[in-house]
Amino acid sequence: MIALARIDERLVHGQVLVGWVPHLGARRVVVADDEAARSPLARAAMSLALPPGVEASVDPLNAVDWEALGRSSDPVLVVLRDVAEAERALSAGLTPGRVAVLNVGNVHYALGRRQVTPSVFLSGAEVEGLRRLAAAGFRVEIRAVPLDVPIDLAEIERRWNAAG
Amino acid sequence: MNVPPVTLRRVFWRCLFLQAAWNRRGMQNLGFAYAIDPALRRLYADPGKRREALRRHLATFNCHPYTAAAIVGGAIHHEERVAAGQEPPGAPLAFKQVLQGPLAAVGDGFFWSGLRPFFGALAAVGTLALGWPALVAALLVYNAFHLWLRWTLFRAGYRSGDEVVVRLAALSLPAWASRLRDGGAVLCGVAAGAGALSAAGRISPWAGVLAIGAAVAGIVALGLRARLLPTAYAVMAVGSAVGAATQVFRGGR
Amino acid sequence: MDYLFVAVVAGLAAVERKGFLQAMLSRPVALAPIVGFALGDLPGGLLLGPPLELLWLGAVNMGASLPPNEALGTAAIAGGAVLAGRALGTGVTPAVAVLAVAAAGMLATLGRTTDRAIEEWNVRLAARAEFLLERGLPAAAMRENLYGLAAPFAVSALLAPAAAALVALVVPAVLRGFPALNAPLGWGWAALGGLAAAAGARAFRSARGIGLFAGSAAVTLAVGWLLGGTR
Repeated sequence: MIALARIDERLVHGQVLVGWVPHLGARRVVVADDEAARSPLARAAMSLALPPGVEASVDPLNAVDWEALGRSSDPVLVVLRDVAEAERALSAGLTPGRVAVLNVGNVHYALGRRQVTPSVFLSGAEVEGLRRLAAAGFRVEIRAVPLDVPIDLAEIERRWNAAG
Repeated sequence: MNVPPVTLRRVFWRCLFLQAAWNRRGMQNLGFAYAIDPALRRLYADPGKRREALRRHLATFNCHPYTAAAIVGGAIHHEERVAAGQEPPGAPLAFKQVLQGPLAAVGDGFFWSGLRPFFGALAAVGTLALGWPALVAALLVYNAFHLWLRWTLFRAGYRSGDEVVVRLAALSLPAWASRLRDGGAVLCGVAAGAGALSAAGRISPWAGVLAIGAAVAGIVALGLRARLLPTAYAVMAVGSAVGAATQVFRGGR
Repeated sequence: MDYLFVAVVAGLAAVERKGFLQAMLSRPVALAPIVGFALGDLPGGLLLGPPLELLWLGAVNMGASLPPNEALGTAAIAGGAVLAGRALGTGVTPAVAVLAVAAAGMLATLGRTTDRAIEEWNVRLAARAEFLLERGLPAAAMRENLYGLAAPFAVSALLAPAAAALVALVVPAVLRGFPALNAPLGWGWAALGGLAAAAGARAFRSARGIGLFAGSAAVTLAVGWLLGGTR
């Protein structure tokens, strides 16, 4: 099964491997990202920090077999780069039936993005995107590390509007 | 053109200030630019080009403060090639962006969740058993090792650029981290046992039993995700209440 | 004068913790003895360091997520406990230590909030560096990085002595008013030690960690028993 789908601009880093992987008991991390899959350096780097017993793969988003991941007996953690990629993944087969929670971890500051939490900045289009993903059936939350208090979509919208 | 060794040492020194202006937007961006600036000044005599280079290093960046040294070194490796016209100006930035997450994970996993807490527990147990000399020794060993590794990573990044990933993989730090975590848990057990024995000797055997009980309660409560500080307050209160009850009980007898 | 020492040590610890070096000098196990030494009571600092270290072993700054500020908490607890122990003429006893932790431990949580505010404040430094760079002043722009060390120093140098003063005021009053509390609080300190060791073991998040923790605790108890009896 897919234990969690996570949006994280930094892809695989400490919060993912030291925080989420042990928390979920994940045995496998799937990075679905075209850009990272194209870079040999990125592929080599992703495997650097893997704890013993955990495997990782870096694949172009459309090359991922979501159905097989959904049927996997070990918990899988899926990492996506941003909200737009999550919407692409939904149409490619990463459905709410295969993973209940869509977690937003790190989205960096950029022009046009407003700060929602210390580590998440969103544009208006991205809030729209999260709304569509929630309407599709995902439980959308912002949570950097497992021990943080999750922030749901309503609160995300409230903070985003307040930050305007 | 190469960056001279004296400048490399200066950059390494400045790497220690990587997080001085850690900020919510760019994170370690200013620290990174500050660290690499002496090398850029060497590579780009033209002020306009130096400014251009500094500007690209002010892009959002975040990594582990120790392992980031490898990225600073590697960024200089790429900047030398940019200055020589062998690589496009975007190459150092691409290098940084790809490696920051994975190297942060290596640093968080090995140093912050392995080596440093292991030495924290070692220093704590050492202090309980032998006093301040053990504490000083533990700190010296930790820092000799950590500074050596930081410097080694910096140099490996500078010399080998992208190949630094291969060099790092050869260290198999995640496997060491998992050994250190096991060792750290053992040290905490020693601390629990020693603390209970000392309480038993200082107060009464029942105080030793109380300390063990608090350890068991702590393992259970924290396993159920109780918050640390409230748990600490509860344990201090209950422990003191048990102490008071024992006194009343003895007094009444 | 004592509070000046507490302020300087706490401020430097805040700098060492995040902005410069990270050499464990701001970890409780080192910082409590340093504060004790600065105030002329090294044994007091050495009593506090190990349990505080284990208690906050999981206080780690990972990525952009912030832990409680264990250094600020430790500086306030150690400074307050040493000064309270001096006022009582007893030094840092377990009773003084427990009350100091209870009175100043919350400062670590407050420290997380101030850390967050500092990160927000530092956005201005980065923006100012960009501005200076565009104006053609690269050296001045880069100096902005070092100015980032000022805020954490100032915040800790203000909060730690204030909390230490509170401890130094309240704890002697409590223990003078209710001397009968001394013995029960000693039990509370023993219990806190047990919890701290457990928190340390939990912080390692190792699958086998709890078993190893229980096993080594049992072995230590057995060896201690054999060597010295229960007393």
